[in-house]
Amino acid sequence: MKAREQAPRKRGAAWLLAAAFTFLTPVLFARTQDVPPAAGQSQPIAGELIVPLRVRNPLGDGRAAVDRGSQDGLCVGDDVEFLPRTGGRWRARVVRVEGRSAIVEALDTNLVFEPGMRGEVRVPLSRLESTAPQVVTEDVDPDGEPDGGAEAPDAALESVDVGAPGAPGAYENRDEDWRAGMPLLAGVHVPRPSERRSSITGRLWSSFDAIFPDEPGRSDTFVRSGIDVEYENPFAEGGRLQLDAEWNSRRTRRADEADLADSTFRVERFSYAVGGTRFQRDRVEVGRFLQRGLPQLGVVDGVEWSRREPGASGFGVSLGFMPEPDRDYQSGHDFQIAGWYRWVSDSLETASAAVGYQKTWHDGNADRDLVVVDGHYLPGQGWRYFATLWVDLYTSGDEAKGSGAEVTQAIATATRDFGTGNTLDLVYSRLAYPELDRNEVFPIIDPDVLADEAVDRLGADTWFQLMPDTRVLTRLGVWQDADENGGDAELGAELAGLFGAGSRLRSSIYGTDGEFTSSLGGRLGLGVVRESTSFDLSYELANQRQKGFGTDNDDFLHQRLRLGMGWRPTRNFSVSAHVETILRDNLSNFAGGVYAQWTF
Amino acid sequence: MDLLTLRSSRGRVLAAVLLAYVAIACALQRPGGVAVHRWWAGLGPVIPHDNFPADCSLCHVGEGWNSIRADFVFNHGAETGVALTGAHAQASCLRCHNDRGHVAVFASKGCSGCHEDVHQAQLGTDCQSCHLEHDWRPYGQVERHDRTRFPLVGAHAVTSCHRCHAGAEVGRFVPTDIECLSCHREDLARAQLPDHFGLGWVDRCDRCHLPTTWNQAEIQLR
Repeated sequence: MKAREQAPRKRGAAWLLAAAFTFLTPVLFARTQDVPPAAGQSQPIAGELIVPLRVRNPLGDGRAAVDRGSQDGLCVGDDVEFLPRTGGRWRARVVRVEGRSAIVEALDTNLVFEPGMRGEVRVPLSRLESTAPQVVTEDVDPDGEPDGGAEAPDAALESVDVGAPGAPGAYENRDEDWRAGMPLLAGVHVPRPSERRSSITGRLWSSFDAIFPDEPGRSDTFVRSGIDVEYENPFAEGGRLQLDAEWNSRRTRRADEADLADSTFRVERFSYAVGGTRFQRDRVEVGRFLQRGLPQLGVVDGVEWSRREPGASGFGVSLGFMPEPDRDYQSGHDFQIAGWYRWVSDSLETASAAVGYQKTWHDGNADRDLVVVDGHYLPGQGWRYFATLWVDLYTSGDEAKGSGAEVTQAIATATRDFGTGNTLDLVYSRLAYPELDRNEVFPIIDPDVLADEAVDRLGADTWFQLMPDTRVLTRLGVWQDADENGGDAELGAELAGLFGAGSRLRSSIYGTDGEFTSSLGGRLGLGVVRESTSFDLSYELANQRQKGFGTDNDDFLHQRLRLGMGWRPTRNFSVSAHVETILRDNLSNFAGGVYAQWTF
Repeated sequence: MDLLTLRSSRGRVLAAVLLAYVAIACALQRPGGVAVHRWWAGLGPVIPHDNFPADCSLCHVGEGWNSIRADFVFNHGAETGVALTGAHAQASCLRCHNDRGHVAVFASKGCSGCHEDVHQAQLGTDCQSCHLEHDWRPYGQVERHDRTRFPLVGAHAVTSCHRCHAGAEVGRFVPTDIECLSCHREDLARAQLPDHFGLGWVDRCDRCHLPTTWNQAEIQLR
């Protein structure tokens, strides 16, 4: 009963509050006219109003969108003065007006619009009076008769209906799955693949490289040309057709022997994939492609199917022939089936762990049993981890290895960004030779090496921001294989801006202890990156000692000079080139190359 | 270093721990999660528009506002704090912001979040140690080899990558054996003056030869 009695009182209080608001608002509004306007507010001066505005986004060609429009009194032809932070006053003219925005065009060609740039425009007060916003009286009366709704705005709002769906100009609410608590602007209609246009993107590229060693009659040239094309949404179902192909031509001239020359054309990818989006949890790809679920499982000529579960985890299977991983990409000898499962911690995939299994047959005979374990942990702050293990399972038929399991490859990284340019990267890697019938380990390897050889390496890189324009680099690494162990170290510094904007001067000393060679030397480099050009000059001087050789002639002075240049004359075209010479005692070798790329 | 060889007891323990971790992780998996912006929830544009101007025509044209104006310019660095450099500056928005999921997921993974790893994860996750953002041509390979057990010296420093890495053209660089005969077996077969096979000189080439020239190697005088 008490609650029922309180309800009318609350309604009465609400009406009183509404009445007070109605009467006091004009008074308050009149009062605010006397208060000096704060920054960002319009200022009336002698019949004009100075309306402050800002650039929302530059549109190119000396035009920009601003955050004021006809509701603020702007008209086409109004002059706007911009006040960039760098100083000065720059003029522009309004060329188009919308309700809450306008497009301006610079009158001074030196004016470069930037997002957030402040400006102001003088608007006659008379214009504002004539364009004062009208009270919305759009009615909701089913008979269509206006009913000035000022007295009962709530009732009007509650029953707004601006037209039947499908009628010309009608608003159709197509919100999907919106619920309280979700971002309001994010709950709009999402274009389905059938509503999207198809598009073709890709690139064409060519490169030429040549090596001229210090030996009469010998040279090595290598020409590559390729095309990558992606045809997106070709059948209005969100699919993707991809083609990557390239042509290679090599020629090695030898003084006393016949030249070596070969030319190959290779299709590295030709596949069609559909699904795997938020509209289609199942994904299918057919053709020649790198497996999506676990790329460690390699390229296949076949099919891969995968499904993503609601928690963002997923699983998939694939089958097909595996092209041999060399420039011929010969297929048809190795057949594989594979399956994988990936667990994902949350929708942002902060943590993930995957396990996959691949079984291969070489020319019809059972070959490889491979287990791949992959994972990452990527918190927003702190250490970030990636790791992958390749585990080969051997049977009694594997003579060199014997039955059992072996981690034939592993790579794990832990990186930490301490902010302000200080980083630490730790890397562990392991590499052994898997026993395969498939032609994947290219050199002919002795059985003893195949059985026992493995190299483990641990490395640590740090970048330390000593001063705002100076960074210090340290690199340390140790390795161990079946016969030897060694390592490397480097200490360097990088100075930014010493030779102008975009320049970086590098210097370092380094030492390395390899299986056959040890080196101690230094490097000096200067790189400059401009908006459309770049160049890099580097020099290296080192003493290289050949291990196991006679002590009186095992030291060699090594020098290397390299110049690289890049040019991007347009958004879609780039060219880069380099020349390099390596001097060692009285020997000199030259190398050079040029690369051009056009994207579309 | 035998820890990862599963034929050893320690290796088997490590494998068991890893498998247990995966099993526990799978068991702890729960449905649900963040309700907003879930992967396929159909919750609006793949590019967040929350702080964009209300006037769609500033950026869009056409029915449904699904097409970008031809003269559209967007300063990604100023608007989002993430500057796009190199080839990324010319990339279409939907190359990164698309239906596959929230772009933050891919950005957190670095390059491999969007780019297919043609090296099949064998070379790690630090793509930028070999590639620039302008084009995919690798750089600094001689310096990088100084961090391996096989620094490139002499003739090896000006040798095409594919001479040792037969899969170089398709992004496969490992495994590669560093023993001389892995690449120079034919040279050994041709070495008749003196007859290397006849003298039993079939390994440890580095005792007599230096990697300075292509054919006539320097010979150590004893």
